[in-house]
Amino acid sequence: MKETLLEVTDLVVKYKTDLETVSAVNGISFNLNKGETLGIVGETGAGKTTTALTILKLLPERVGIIENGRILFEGKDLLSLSERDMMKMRGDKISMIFQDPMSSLNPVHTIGAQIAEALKLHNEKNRTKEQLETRVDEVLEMVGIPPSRKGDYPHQFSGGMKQRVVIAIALACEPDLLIADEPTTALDVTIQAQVLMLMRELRDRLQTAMILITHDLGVVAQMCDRVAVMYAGELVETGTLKDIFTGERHHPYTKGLFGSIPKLNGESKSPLSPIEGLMPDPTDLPAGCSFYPRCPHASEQCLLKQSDAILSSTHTVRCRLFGKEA
Amino acid sequence: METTKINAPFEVITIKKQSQMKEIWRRFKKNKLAMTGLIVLTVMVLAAVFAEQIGTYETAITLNVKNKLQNPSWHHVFGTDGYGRDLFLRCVHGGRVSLFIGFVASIAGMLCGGLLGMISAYYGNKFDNIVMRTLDVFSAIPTILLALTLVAALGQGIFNIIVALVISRIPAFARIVRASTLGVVDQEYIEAARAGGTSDLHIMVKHIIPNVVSPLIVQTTMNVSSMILQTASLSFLGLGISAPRPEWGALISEAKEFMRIKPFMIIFPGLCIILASASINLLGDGLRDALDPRLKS
Repeated sequence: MKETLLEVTDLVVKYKTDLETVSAVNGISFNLNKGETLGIVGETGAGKTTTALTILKLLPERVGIIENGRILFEGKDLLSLSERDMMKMRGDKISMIFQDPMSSLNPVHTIGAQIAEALKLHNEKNRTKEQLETRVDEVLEMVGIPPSRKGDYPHQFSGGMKQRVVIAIALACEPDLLIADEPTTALDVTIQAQVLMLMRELRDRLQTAMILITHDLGVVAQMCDRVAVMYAGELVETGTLKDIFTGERHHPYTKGLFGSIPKLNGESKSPLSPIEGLMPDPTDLPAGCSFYPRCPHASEQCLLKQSDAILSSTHTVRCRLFGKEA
Repeated sequence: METTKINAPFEVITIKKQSQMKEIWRRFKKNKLAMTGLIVLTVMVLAAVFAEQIGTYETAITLNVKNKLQNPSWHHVFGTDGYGRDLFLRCVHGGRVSLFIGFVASIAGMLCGGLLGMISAYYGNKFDNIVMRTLDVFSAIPTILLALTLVAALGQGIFNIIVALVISRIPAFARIVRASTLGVVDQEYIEAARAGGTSDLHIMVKHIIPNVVSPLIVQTTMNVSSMILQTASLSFLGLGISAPRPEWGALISEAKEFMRIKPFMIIFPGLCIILASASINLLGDGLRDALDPRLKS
């Protein structure tokens, strides 16, 4: 059994404004072992990014409120850490890659300076200036950018190269956990493949645990060990890659997700079967199962609060259809 | 082997930094009007700095009544004033005060207002509201009236004039910087910096300031001329620099009783003010174009 790195229990996050309260994350629990990759999939607005920001405690001040839950990272409760201690964690132990590489680099600094800055902020080894510069070169080489380009500004790089720089910054301090929030959404498909390959290779080399947030099931299939399907702030299904992709029994929502992917083989003539309807309004979630307004198997029992059904030691589904086997 | 590997990229960086400045300078040079402004301003600043060498302050303030009201000649290029003092010398020494106040008040106003605007945009919410509404109150009072009141309350003198001008300028600077900062704080690279464990102070110094500095430089330059004009107005109204120290506005004020018989007395210091503020404005325009990367050509 591998060591647990991150343990999230019963996390509830709300965004409160004067006008309304948005329930972004509604009681999710998961854990992540060292060196493992967890994929979080779901529609836009399912609360994936909110979960990531909560782990780093970067929710918008005053508006984003953690109502309940516990986040244990290497046994330490992140939610009780002071801002100062949290600052030391960010970038050093946990770092994050953002969606859009075009805007996550500061246009007025050279990329070398931006990588060096990440290193300087967490300079526990007390590296000298020269050592920092060598490290910058190393990191750049690691992501496949010639070190001679470190004096260039972000606008002199293409999108894929910029995402490489962002990855370099995120991995410069060799974090234990890397949170990648849709790292390839803003890139075109060929570059996506390159960047994913690079991330996979670096993850294996540096033994970094990773949370990969995406809505692309293809990316999940390539990268992840375990998958969590998120819907309206809840994890409706979690399991290993095998459980989700080749397993027989699924949450209706997961089935819907897979039904929405075009298939290249077999019954290629069959049209796509998208999920009818839209995500429920997060300011006014339905009672019971949040998926029942769109669910083909909906019945009156769905109006009751749903609990997780355990299908196997790794596979859980939150749906009454599987209640009997639990 | 090892050393070359480390040193080579260093050189790359220094070359890049130089070429950034060179690039701005190249774009600036192409603008003929801005270059004219720069040259005129440089001459005026040099004259102000080396005023003692052109003619001592003593001669500029010593009365010499038998020479009074002479027309411009080779001996007195700008003529003499009602007390027989050389007007050219008085303009040079006056420029010293005017330009000094203009630059210092502008820079101080930029620092105070800019800092206030940036902090209030960065933290937002209540703090932002309190700061900006307070500044709104200030900007509701006409600048010259505010400055006048402050000088009247604090008393005359260069330092007090600067304080009054700075206070009256803070709202404008704060608003400009606040607006540019608001555009920057929402950028993903600020969030990314935060995710990398960067402190608020560090984010402001390293990530926000470099991004808002170019509109600020332009605004500060443009402001110098309005500061000079305001100092002149204050002096003209008799609340600025006190006699016998010359200052452009004060010179015009002194000359107004001789306006009908010796109009040059009012024209020359007036020309100084016009030249200085026009050249500064041209310089500011040129800087704005040169610093704006979108206009790269």
